[in-house]
Amino acid sequence: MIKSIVLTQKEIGHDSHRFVLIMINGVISKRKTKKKIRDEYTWHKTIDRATLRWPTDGAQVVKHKQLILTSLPINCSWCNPQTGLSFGLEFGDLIKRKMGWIGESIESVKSMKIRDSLFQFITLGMIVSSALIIWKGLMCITGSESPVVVVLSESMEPGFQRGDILFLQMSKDPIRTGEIVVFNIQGRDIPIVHRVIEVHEQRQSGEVRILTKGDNNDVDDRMLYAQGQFWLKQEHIMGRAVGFLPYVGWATIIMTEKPIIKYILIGALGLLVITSKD
Amino acid sequence: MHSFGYRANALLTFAVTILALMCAIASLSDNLNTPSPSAQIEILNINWFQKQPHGNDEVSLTLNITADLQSLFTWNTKQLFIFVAAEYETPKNALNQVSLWDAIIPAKEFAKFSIHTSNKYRFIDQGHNLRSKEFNLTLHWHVMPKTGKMFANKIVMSGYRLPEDYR
Repeated sequence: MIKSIVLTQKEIGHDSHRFVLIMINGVISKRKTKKKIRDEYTWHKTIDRATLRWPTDGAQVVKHKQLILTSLPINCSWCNPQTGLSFGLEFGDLIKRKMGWIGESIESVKSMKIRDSLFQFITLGMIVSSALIIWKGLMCITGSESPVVVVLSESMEPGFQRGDILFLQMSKDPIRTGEIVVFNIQGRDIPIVHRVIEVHEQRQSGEVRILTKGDNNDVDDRMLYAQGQFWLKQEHIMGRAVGFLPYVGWATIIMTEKPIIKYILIGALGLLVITSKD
Repeated sequence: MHSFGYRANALLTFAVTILALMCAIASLSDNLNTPSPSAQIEILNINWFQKQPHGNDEVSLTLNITADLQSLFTWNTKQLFIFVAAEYETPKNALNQVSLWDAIIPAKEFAKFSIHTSNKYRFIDQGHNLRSKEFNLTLHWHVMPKTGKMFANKIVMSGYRLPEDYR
């Protein structure tokens, strides 16, 4: 038998951390955040604490999950006695009392889970698509097909170490000696980050012939180029390094070298997104 | 809501944001530095000068490089990469840049130096245009930051000329 329902709004910290305590017959029945309450109940903002006396026949089940108080107590100043339909309640305990636990579990599966999982699915989609937007946006701004690369080799030490991140740009400016370029060689799947040491720009076609060398290497890169290739051309160049961030690329290196860690991480993140409630 | 995961996430996000901000500020602070570097390069000797069997000219030089690059160092400077390049025009190429010598300066105290060296990399033309060729020697520097944007600049020294004959 429900004699009274006490709703108490508690504020902790800033706005998003509001509690609503729901007490039925003096026993705490539920804690909800303000956000949830606002979604599920018609909640009056100005109220701080409200006590509802529960008339035995004052409540009835409407739409099989909503309890609406028809006769309202006088000391409830925040609801409208004239219309008598100002406060919709919807929570498990009351439903349980009216419908039994089977009805309640069906209800919770029907209403909460589907909505929640849909919401989480959308959140996940938002995260993935915003990451994609950032990546593609960087591609547009920098003009390079891979605007961020991780340094994998030690050939540019001590300037760039393994695990550092380089930001690339692909501008129209001609390539000159001293610049650090990222280039692709036919038959090699990993791009190389090295410094330009020689440039010959042809007068008529404007084409360039480039020779590169790693700062930490003793000889130039002719050995690395494809068989019979003496010079790099513009088409081999993926971009030139303009910015530098140390250590950040280690995560990528670890993940490519130990794929198990990658799967564990993805799994854990996915689980976190799916199970997180707020 | 106030679960461990939530707090850990908030803390991590905050820490990463602050770190990124500090990196950005460190990189931006490089702009406040107005360096005044100076350099002088002297060709002491033409060691040899010849035409390779397949037709390209090659020359070997001895250089004396004196420079004071201390003002390029800021608190965000990891190292300085410097190199000397020969720059010249030929009928075929509008620009030829050939790196002759380079060095890494790891700290400010090594940024004032005078070095006596022959060219570290081979000075080979694409063709045989080097006889009595006028060329520039350019000292380039690339500032590698601890984090952020890389800077580069150069000092051009003109008026060098190679001899008329192979030797």
